[in-house]
Amino acid sequence: MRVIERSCELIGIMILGWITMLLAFIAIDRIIVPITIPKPNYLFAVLEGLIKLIGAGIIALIWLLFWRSLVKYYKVKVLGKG
Amino acid sequence: MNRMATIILVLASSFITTFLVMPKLIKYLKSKGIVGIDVHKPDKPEIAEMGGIGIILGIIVGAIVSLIIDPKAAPKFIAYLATIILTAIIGFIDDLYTLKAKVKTALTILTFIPIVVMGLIFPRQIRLGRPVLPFIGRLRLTIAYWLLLPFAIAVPANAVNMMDTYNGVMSGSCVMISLSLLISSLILGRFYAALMSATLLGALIAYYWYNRYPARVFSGDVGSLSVGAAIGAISVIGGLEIVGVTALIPFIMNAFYSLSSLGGLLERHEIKERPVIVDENGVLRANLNSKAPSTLANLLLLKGPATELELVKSYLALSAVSSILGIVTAFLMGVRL
Repeated sequence: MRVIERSCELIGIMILGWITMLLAFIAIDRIIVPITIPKPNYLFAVLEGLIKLIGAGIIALIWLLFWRSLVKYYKVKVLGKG
Repeated sequence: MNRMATIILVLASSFITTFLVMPKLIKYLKSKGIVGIDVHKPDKPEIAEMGGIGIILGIIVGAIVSLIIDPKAAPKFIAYLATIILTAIIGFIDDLYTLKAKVKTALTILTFIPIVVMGLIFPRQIRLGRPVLPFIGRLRLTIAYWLLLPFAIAVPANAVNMMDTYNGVMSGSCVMISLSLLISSLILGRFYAALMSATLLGALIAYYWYNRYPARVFSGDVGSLSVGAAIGAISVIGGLEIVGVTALIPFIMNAFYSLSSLGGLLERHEIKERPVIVDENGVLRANLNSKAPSTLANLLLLKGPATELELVKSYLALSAVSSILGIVTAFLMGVRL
């Protein structure tokens, strides 16, 4: 079996993972970063930071789960053939 | 001296050092009984272990040459070398006494300290925080950056360590990744990051000569952890975080799939089912047992059995693509939406 034939689907998953990573960054920049709450004192600034962190974390987690499900799909597809 | 000539000189000095040191190091390691079994060969030969020391020596000489030519780079190179040496010490101890996986990972998390210390002492030379992202520019997520910084060295170090399983995979892939970092540094005009990448690239090309299939030497944790730490340090110090992450995608994929299928950090001997089965002819097959970790090797072999050399070429194909993506990312860092 040729090298490209063996690795082409995983290369596809890798490129898809990279594109979705860039999209996740754009989502963080456009949705999470602009979040602001009224800041009567320093504690609320920390709270705002925490909200942004959790928001960015959720997007990162969705990306990781998407990546994992791609590999699961690949496994089912290849093993199904065999 | 011309910048391009400096990069070539630094690359050559680290290459020559590692290339000349390796034969003597291999002989010495074998004479001291520091050897590992090449489990993917039918005759299970004994191969010199801890050859990664040669890579570290090459990097150190390359860094010294850089500092002689341009002493202004001292803070960056001190942070770079301190990170690598600290990681090498952890790898050295692990090779000799086998640390628990969780202890090793926890210790590698501490290796970001030299970069932060040098960043605080020399804030103009080492600018931490606010990484540049493609289409976005400088990201204003400073709290997240500082929370993620401890993992900036630990993740690449352990991810590279986890993929150092077949002859020439770690060294060959990291040659391409360091070349990707070097080209990206030149695209973005980060001269010192290019110099650091040149020290790593030169040492790795020389090491690959000895580590390629069939391997005459294994890097050991001292080598693989240090190479991963070097990639992480170049990415952070050079402001190439996203390029580094992109180029390391196959390593991250391998680590992520293994960890998610195993459900946590385990040492090699603690894993009951191996991801790959080697038959008596040396042909590798994917272990289809549900308890076997889903490493990249396991995934690549799902399509059918392969020799070790075929598998290594598949790994290198993945790294070649991720390294090209790294360079594309560097180009996109100048694009704004």
